[in-house]
Amino acid sequence: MMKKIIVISTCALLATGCAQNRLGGQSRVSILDDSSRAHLEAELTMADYTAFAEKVTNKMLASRLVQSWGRKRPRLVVGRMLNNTDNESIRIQDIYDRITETILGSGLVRLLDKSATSFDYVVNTELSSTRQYGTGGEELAYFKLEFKMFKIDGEMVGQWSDVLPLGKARRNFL
Amino acid sequence: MIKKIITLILVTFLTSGCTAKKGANIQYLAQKTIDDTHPRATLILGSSELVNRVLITNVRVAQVGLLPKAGIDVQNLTDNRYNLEYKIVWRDKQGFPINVGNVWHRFVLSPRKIKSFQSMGKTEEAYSIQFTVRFPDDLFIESDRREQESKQMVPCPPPLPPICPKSMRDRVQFK
Repeated sequence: MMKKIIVISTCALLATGCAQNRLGGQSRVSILDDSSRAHLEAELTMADYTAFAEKVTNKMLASRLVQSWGRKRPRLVVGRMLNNTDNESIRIQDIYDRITETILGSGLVRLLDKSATSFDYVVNTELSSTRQYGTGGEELAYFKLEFKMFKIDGEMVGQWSDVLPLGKARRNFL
Repeated sequence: MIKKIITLILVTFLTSGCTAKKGANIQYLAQKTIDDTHPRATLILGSSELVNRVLITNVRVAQVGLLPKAGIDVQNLTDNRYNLEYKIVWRDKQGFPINVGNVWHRFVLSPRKIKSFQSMGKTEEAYSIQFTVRFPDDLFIESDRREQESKQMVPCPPPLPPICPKSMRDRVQFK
């Protein structure tokens, strides 16, 4: 009798051990870490927008021009962002908002609306992409975000950019 | 007498092992993956596998205009190629995080390479940095890893695993 109980317990234990290895719950939906850079396609995600804003504003704020402003807090307009990628559905407004959030948070400038007519500097922003496909379904996409800063008289005083390459591996049919 | 002392030491040793670590009043628990030798930087390797293989070096924190700027190098001490990601979190003088919206940035560290990274503090209050390097991690990488692990395990055929005695399996089937 004792032997049987031990055997049954061992079997049950092993069986539950196997069951625990199954992935996900019933819905198979998980909440991700908000700083995670997971991709299903070679397209930009919200985390990529944040990364772009972080990196390009890093370069802009570190520039000699911005350093020279000190506490002057010049009036700055961030112009409408151009979407020169092959994807019309990119949430350009979200990238724009990320950029303005970072610039405004720095406290170095007074940020004006795009409709303002009196300002010291204007930053034109552009998102562009190139894409290549391999014969086995591989995909290589490069996204570039570029800032160009102009004075009110049209003189260009700064240019900063960052590139985000995304690669998709060969499809596996087996 | 000696027996009593040994027993006492053993009891103390065992009970101290059971005591849970408390962290409310410390910044963090010292580990070999954490380097806090720089007064304005906490450097973290996200895996003990990276210790002595990847080194975070040459930390510089300087003032650029009104904002602080940090520069950090990551050195590959091996002949292996590493796919890694880093994240920088700026903190104010009290240790509160600033711009917590920062995300992980992927990079490749080829053999023996030293790669440099820079970050601006983005507000005047920014004072110190927490720099973390780890192996890339997200939901899909973790799912793939678990799937690989489960494939390597011996499958358990229903209704009972093969470990059960034949006589018992027969009995279950007859039912």
